[in-house]
Amino acid sequence: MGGIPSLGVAAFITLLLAAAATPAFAAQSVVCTDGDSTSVTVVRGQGGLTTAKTVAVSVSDRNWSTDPNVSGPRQLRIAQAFEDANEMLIDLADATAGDIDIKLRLFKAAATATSVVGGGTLWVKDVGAYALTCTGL
Amino acid sequence: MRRFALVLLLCLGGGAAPAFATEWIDCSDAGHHASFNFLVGTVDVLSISGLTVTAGKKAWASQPVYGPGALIAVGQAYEDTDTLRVDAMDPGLEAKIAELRLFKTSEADGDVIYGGTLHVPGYGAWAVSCDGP
Repeated sequence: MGGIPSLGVAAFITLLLAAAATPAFAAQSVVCTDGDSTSVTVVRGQGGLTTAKTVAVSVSDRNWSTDPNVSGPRQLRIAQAFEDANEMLIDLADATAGDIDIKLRLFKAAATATSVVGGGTLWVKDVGAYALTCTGL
Repeated sequence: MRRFALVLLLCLGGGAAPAFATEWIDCSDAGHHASFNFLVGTVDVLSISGLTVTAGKKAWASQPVYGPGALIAVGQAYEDTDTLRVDAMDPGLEAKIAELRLFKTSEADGDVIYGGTLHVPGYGAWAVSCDGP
């Protein structure tokens, strides 16, 4: 292999595959709204793992957050999160009991070569369900 | 006796007949730049008997009675408890004209909320929400 150590080639291929699996134009934050009083902000991790790092949800005057450094909103934790080129799925659980309290479900579609639109649903236990439009995907 | 049997037969036949009621599910983006509307039957699986699509000033319809524009056909269509996916094709089923991808969830009162994306290749993509059954 032209003198390139095989371990280096393997690492290079791994990096290429990781880059191909990650949207090149994905922003660090995804911001969603229902056009009224409901919003969601998803902050992605950086580096190789770009799945959701923190999530904040607001419905009218009620707020939830998975960021332990933020006081005020009710604390939840990310129970499971998944994102690929076509969708983003996040379940937030009660910090103690473990019940799923919030479900975010988004589809993604490429509007142009450099922009992606997101749309989907937000379900908040005992509060309501909303259709969302998102940017930053 | 024969008349009674005939009435009973008609009653049983009416009870066994499937309901053919249909309802439109209308999807569009917030700015109404694009839309995907489809007519579904009240059966256990997704059954689409008509659709219309718009993207900007371009329009398609599966039958002229449903709207203006070029003819369009239903390609793949799939629905489960959480998602609904429809591909609209040209009448020859050779080229994809539009992709609708929806998530579904329910409010406490049972109303279904639909939200997702509409991609019309060559025209763009939009986040959409829908009204329907």
